[in-house]
Amino acid sequence: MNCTICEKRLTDYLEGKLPSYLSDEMQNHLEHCSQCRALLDALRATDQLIREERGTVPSRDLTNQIMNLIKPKDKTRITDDKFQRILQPILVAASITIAVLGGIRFGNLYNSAKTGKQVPVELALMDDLAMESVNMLTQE
Amino acid sequence: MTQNELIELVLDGNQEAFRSIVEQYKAKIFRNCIGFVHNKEDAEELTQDVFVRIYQNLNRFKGSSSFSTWIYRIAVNSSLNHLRKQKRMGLLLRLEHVFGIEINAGKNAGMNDPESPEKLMIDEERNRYLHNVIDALPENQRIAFTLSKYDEMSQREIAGILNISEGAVEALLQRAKANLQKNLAGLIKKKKLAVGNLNK
Repeated sequence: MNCTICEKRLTDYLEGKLPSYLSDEMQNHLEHCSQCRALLDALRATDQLIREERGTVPSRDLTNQIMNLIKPKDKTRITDDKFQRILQPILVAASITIAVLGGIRFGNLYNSAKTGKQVPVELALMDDLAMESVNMLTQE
Repeated sequence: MTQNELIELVLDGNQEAFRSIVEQYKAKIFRNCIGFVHNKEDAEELTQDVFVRIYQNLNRFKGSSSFSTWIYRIAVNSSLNHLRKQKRMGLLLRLEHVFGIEINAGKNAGMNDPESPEKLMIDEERNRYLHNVIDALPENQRIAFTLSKYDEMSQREIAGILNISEGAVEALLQRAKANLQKNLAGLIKKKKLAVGNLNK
């Protein structure tokens, strides 16, 4: 067995996935090849490091620390969420409707002022100018 | 109480219900985070960040995947964001790690004494190199590798989190192992990891 073949099978060897005859060949090569042995050691060391890190336990206080982080914002955020989900679209739609209706109304007023449309006689009392003359009449 | 009932309670503003969720998942999330950041303090900070994000986005959980899968997706994304930030901010530190102190076999006296400062220093340096090798994996391979090795997840579970097929997960894991081995071999050739000095 040469180093190239050994390197290819190294992970399987480490994980015990090789048949016994191949495993024996690997072992034989590893006993005589310091480079391949160093690589096997490095892979073992990596596994060992991962096992150690995986065994690290978080502080007992971690839950409280997390709860403290979310506490001050709790109700406002959830209310905000509800606001965003339900109220905000309604308010946006209402604002748009008001803006459109307002635009139409102002547009109509502008047009009627521009064309100088005459106020019918029966509505003359509703006109400001006409009202002035009515007041003058009543004062007399 | 079922998971969905707990979630509904949290959405209604019940803090204690969220505490139950934290208790249930904190160890798993912490383990996942430590796989990305490799130290306890950063992993705890990251775990806190993950749970705050879970809380803030709980109303977006629609149940199209399992709650656990959804939580792990948030954890993985938070870890990757954390690493990207770290990468941007700590380029000089990383360079120092890469071109730092080399480990040489038999160079230091007292190396066989597991408690000696020399041995501790060597262990620390060796771990740093091993971390660099893991961290150097391409992002998708790194995620699959971490979920497999640190969280001990099956390929099916990893596939659910990454939203890819099980075959794709297997390919990612194979490539991750091959790259890891290649990078370790490179370090050995450069004498950064010394022969016969790796096992504790």
